[in-house]
Amino acid sequence: MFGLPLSTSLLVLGFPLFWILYTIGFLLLTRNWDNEGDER
Amino acid sequence: MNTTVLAFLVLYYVVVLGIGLWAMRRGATDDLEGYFLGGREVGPLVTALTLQSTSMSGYMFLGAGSLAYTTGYWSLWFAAGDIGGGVLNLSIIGRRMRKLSQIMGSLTSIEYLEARYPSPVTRLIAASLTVFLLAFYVLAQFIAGGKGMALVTGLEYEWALLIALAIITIYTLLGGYLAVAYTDLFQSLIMLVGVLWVLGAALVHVGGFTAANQTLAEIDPTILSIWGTGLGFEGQWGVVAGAVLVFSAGYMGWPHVVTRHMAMKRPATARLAGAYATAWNLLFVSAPYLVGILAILILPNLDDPELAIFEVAQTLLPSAVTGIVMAAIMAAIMSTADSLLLQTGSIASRDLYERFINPRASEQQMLWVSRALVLAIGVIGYLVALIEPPAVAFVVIFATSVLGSAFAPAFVCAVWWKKANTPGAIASMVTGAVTSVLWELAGLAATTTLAPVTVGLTASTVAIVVVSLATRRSSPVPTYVLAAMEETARVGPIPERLIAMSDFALEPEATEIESLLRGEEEQ
Amino acid sequence: MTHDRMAIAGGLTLAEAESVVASTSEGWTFRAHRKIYYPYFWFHLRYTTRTLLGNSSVRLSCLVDTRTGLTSTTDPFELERVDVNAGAVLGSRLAEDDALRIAHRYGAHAVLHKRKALVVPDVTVLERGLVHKPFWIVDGRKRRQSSFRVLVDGVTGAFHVLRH
Repeated sequence: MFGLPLSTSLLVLGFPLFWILYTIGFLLLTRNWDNEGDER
Repeated sequence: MNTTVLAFLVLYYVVVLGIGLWAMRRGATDDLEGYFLGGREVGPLVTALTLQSTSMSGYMFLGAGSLAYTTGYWSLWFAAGDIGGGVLNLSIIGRRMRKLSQIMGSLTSIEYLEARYPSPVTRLIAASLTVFLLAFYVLAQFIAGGKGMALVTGLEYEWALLIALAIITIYTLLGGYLAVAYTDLFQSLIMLVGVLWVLGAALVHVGGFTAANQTLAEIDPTILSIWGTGLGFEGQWGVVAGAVLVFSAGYMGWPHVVTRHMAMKRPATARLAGAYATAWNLLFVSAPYLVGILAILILPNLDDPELAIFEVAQTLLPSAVTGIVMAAIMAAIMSTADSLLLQTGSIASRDLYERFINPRASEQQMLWVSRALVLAIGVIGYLVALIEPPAVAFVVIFATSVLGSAFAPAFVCAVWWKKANTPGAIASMVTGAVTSVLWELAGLAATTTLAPVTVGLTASTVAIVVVSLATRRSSPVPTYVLAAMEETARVGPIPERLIAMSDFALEPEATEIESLLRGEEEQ
Repeated sequence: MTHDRMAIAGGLTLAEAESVVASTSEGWTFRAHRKIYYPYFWFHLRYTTRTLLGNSSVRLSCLVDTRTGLTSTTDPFELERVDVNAGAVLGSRLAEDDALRIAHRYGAHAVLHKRKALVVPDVTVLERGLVHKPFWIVDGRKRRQSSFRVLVDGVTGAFHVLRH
């Protein structure tokens, strides 16, 4: 892809993808955080 | 000297100084809590962006550009870890650290470590390590600032350095963290625009991404490989792991970054801030590396690879845009430098001066100690940056490796592992710092193909686990720390009026009944 | 297994305990689910001090927390006999004699403050006994996810948040 070797494509695109999934997972798992301290 | 570029730079500094003054008017410097943490009122957007721009720093523009220019796509291993650094940090320690630090009444990251791992030794070691390494780290920012300023203004390096340094110091002294937090927000946005603009211009110039890669392959196909130009790092997974770890896990050891967790408006801010951080990093983190790689095509014969991004900007962009981009680069440098200065000042005044030198210091006296130290680092930093400036990338990677190795396990275990005790944390900090420093100084990375941060982090993690377990009988974690950790682990609010109306005469009964209930649950 | 215990009478009902806490926190629902009996030694003492104008005496009723030894004065109360489950009553950690000594010292200190005189009063024990005070454990809840726990004094209605 983009004239890059496969391993390099994985490095350039794979890590961002991994972190996107990580962030989505984090948001899903922490849905109950939002009502914390909401009395302020 | 280019007047258009200069005009934009001046405009930029006027705005930044204006934000500092505005923050001061809002009362950011009324007391110490305000000076250091902006009164814990920083929301998710500001938290995320300041976390990022603080850590991105001059490294991204000088260090990253130079790494990419010299090693090709291998440099993206650093970006791979960096993209997740923010969300990793916020998801693992963000919410809990904000909550635990408030329960324990800690203002600085060092105070927090001492509260969690009670012992004056904790503070002495943590504070000394931090002051020393941050002062070293801020040096990289001074050098970067000076180099950038000199290139654009055409001024002599020493004058450019002096101007950049004076501005950084003055606005740090004016507003404290709130000024820093808001100026960082402004700087982050400018940076994003700047770096994307350079990347866009570079891509257009070389005829697109795919075409550029094809041309690079014709020059040297190893530039495109994940093992570095000339395959210099082939099969060295220990070095690769270090590159990924430095700005992801190592990042958790930065006191000036983790302090920002403590300044969040409420614990749940960590959640949204994590999402913003990832979004920002996806846009921003890889861009400087890509510009550095494209610079191989655009400017094949650079004398100083550290100036790759500056030179690309100057070559391809119109002057007004160069002014904005330069402002962006100076923004990165300054936002890192001021965070570092503020941190160092706060650690020196609270954690060393008040604690070990003058226990009865008034808030006013401590504020003056902070200010004096900020000024002193400015002056000493100026002299070192003038006489013998080291490479920006080296300083940043080295300081981050040592800080991360020393503190990341202690910060993580502070909120996640109830068995982590004082001897464990002290052993971890000392082991991590000593191992990573020795590894670097002895040049063991090249012979063992293991990066200092890989070794340092492993050593400090093993140390905290082994020593905590070995000393769990002689140094048990105090029950009030355990209680605070339990409270921290719970997600849930308690209405403030209820707390305000509580009858504290019932405290003894409450404690007794709590232990009864806890005992029942454990059975 | 149940125990026969002397408890301070006239306490809050379950619903009253809930409403005490609910009044402070809008939007939360509270459920009292458990009553715990906490042990105190109760002493009704008479302190007599000799003065130039003859003897003067003061009566004092106080509760010594049998688990922590902390002492406080108390209003007069009625006692009632209750049957409590073994799990609902805390055991005492203090011997009665030790508790009496603590109560003496506490009372003497209180009397001296009242009399503003450095004298040692004579003490007579009028009544004594192991008594239990009921406490309600109330859970606060909002939108399912979040919860916390409050301890409500079953006699006075004072409350304290439980960390656990």
